[in-house]
Amino acid sequence: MEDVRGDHGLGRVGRGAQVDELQRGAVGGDPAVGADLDRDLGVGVQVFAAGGLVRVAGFEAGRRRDVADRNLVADPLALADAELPADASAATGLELCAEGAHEPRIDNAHGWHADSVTELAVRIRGAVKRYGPITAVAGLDLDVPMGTCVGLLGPNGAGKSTTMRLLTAQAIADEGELEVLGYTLPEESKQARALCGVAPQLDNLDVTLTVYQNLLVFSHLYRVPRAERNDAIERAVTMAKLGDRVDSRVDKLSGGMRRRLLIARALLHGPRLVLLDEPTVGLDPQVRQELWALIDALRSQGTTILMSTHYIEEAQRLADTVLIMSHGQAVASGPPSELVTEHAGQEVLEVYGPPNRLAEVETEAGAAGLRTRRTGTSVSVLGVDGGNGFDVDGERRPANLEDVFVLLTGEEIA
Amino acid sequence: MSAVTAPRRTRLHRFERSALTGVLVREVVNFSSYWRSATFSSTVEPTIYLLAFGFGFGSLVSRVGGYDYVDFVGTGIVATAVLFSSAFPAMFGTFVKYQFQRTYDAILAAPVDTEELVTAEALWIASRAGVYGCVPMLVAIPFGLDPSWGMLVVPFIAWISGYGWACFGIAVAGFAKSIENFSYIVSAVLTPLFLVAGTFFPISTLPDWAQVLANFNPLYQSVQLVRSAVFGLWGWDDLARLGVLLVFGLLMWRIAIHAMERKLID
Repeated sequence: MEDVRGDHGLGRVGRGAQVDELQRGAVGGDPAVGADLDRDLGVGVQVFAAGGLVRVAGFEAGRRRDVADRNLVADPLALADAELPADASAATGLELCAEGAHEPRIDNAHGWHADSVTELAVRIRGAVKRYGPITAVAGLDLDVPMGTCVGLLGPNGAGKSTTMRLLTAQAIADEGELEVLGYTLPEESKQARALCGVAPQLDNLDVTLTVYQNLLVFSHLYRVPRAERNDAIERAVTMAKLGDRVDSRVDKLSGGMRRRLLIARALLHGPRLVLLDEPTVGLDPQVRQELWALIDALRSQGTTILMSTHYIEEAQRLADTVLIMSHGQAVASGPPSELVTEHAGQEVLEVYGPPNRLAEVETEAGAAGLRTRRTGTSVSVLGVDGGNGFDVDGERRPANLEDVFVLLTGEEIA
Repeated sequence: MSAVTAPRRTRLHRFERSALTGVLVREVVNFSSYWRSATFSSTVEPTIYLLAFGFGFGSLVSRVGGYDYVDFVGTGIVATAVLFSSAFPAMFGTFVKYQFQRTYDAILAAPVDTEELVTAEALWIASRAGVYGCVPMLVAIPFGLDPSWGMLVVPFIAWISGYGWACFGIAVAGFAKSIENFSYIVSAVLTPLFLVAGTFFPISTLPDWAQVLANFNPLYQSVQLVRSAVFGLWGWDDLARLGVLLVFGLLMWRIAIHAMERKLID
C-alpha cells in the first residue's frame, strides 16, 4: 500500500490504478475528483470517497472519461458528509447520483471501503455445503464489491475451494442464497459463468496442445466472437507474459508459465469477475512474485477478483478485503490493516524463554488484559502498543494477519 | 448493499449451439495431436478380425446365412468397429478427462452445462465411429465384397449406433469409481453382446432364448441394418431395428447425462 494522503491524516489508499488515479488529484494536498468510467455496468453511477478525493465510477455504455485533474473539492473532510461536489456532474459530463446506497464514504485504510460500494459481484448469504457427515461450508456470508479484490484466507480444509465451486455451480449449496453478478445460483449459473473467469487450483490445461490452441479452445467456450478471437488471445498472452511461448506445447512450460496460462485463459473474454483458487500454491517464491504482479495488474485495471489463498502474505499484499475462514465459516473480514489493528493492535511483543517463563508471561499478559499466542519457543503478546502496564522484555514487531488468524481460529497456517 | 444488476440480455438457454461447438472444437483441436494413434487402433484392430475370421475361419466355411463368409464378416464387423471406436474411447477418455486431467472442471467453469458437454462429447465420438466403422467394409471390398450404393448409408448407421455406444461409455465412466471397474463392463456386458451380435456367425445357431435376447442387442441390430444396406435387402424389420438404435441412443444419452451430473456436480 501507499500513502498518498500526505498529512491529511486519513491514512492510506488503494494500490495500482486506484493509487495512480487518486495521486493525480491528491498528491500535493490538492484533492480532486477522479472519474473512472470504464465499464458498462448498466447500473448507473457510483461515487466513492477516498482520502479527500471522490472517485466516480459508473457508466454510460461505451464512455470513458477521466476528470481527475479537476479540482472540485476544497475541503477533503467535507466528503464524509456524503455530499457530491456540486460541479461533479459538469466535470464528468454524466448525470451523477449520490443518494442512498450510493453515499460516498471516507475510508481510513484502503481509500474506499467495501461499504461504500453499492454493487456486489458476489453475494452469499448463509451458504451451507455438506458432503455426507462433513460440512465444508457452514453458513457463509460473503460480499465481493465490484472493482475490489477479496481474499479468502484459511488453512487447507477451511472451505475456500468449496466456496469457489459453489460460485461456478460445480457444487450446489444445501442451504443459503448465492448471487454472482446479479444472477441467482444455481438456476442462472450459466449466465454468470459467461461473465466470469476461473483459474482453478489444479492445473487442467490440455497439455498436448500449444498455448495458442488452449486459448483458442476456450475462446470458443467463452463465446468470444470470431472476429475478436485473435485479439483476445493476443491480449491474454501479453497480459500473462507468454507472448514468446504461444506455439509451445503446454507440457513444455514451467509450472509458473502454466499458472500464468491458466490466468490468461480466465481473462480471454474480458470477465467482470475473476475467481482465482489458490493462484500461487506450490510455486517457488520468485514465480509467486511474478503472479502477484500479474494479479496486481488485474486489480489495477479494475477487475473484480475473488481469490482464495492460504498464504498470509499473499492475502495481505493483494486483497482489499480479507475474509478469514475456518471450518467453513467466516470468522472475520475487513481490510487487512483494519483486521490487524482491530484484533492484534499495532505491535506484538515476542518473548523467548523456557516453558515456565512463557507461562509466566502469559499469566502476566492476561492480568494486563492482553491476548497471547504461543509460537514455538516464544509467546507473542498482542496489542502491546498501548502499554497497558505490561512491562516485559522481548522483541517488538508489527502485528500481522497471522497473529489475527491464529488468535481468531486457534489454527496455524502457512 | 445490493448485488449488481444482471444484464438480462445475456440470458442463455439449454443446448446452445455455441456451447456444443466449443466442446467440439476442443475435441477437434486435440484430435490433431493424436489422430494417428486413434486411427491406427480403430482401423487395424477390426481389420485383423476381418482377416483372421474371414480368411482363417472362412477357409473352413464358405457360406453362412446365404452369404459368402467374407461378405458376412466384412459387413458384420462394421458394428464391431463402431463399438471399438465409440464405447471404449468414451469409457476411458471420459474417465481420464474428469479424474486425471480435470478437463471437465475447466469446461464447466465456462458457460457450458453438463448436458451440453455430454452431448457434444457423444456427437464427436459418434462422428469418429461413423468414419472408422466403415474401414473394415472398405477393406473387405478388395477381398471380394461387392460395392453397392447401399454402402453410402452405412456411415449413418454407424453414426447412430456410435452415438448410443458413446453415451453408454460415458455413462459407464460416470458411474465407475475407478478405471479398474471397466473390466466388469467389458467382460460381463460388452463381450457377450459382441459375441451374440451375428458378426461372425448367424444368431440362428444360438438357442431360442438367446435369439430372443439378441433382438435387444443394439450391436445385433446394427449388424443387420448394415447387411440390409450393403446387400440391398431393406424390409420393414429394418425400421424396427432403426427404432431400437434410436431408443438405445436416447436412453443412453439421458443416463450418461445423469451419471456425469452426479460425477461432476457436487
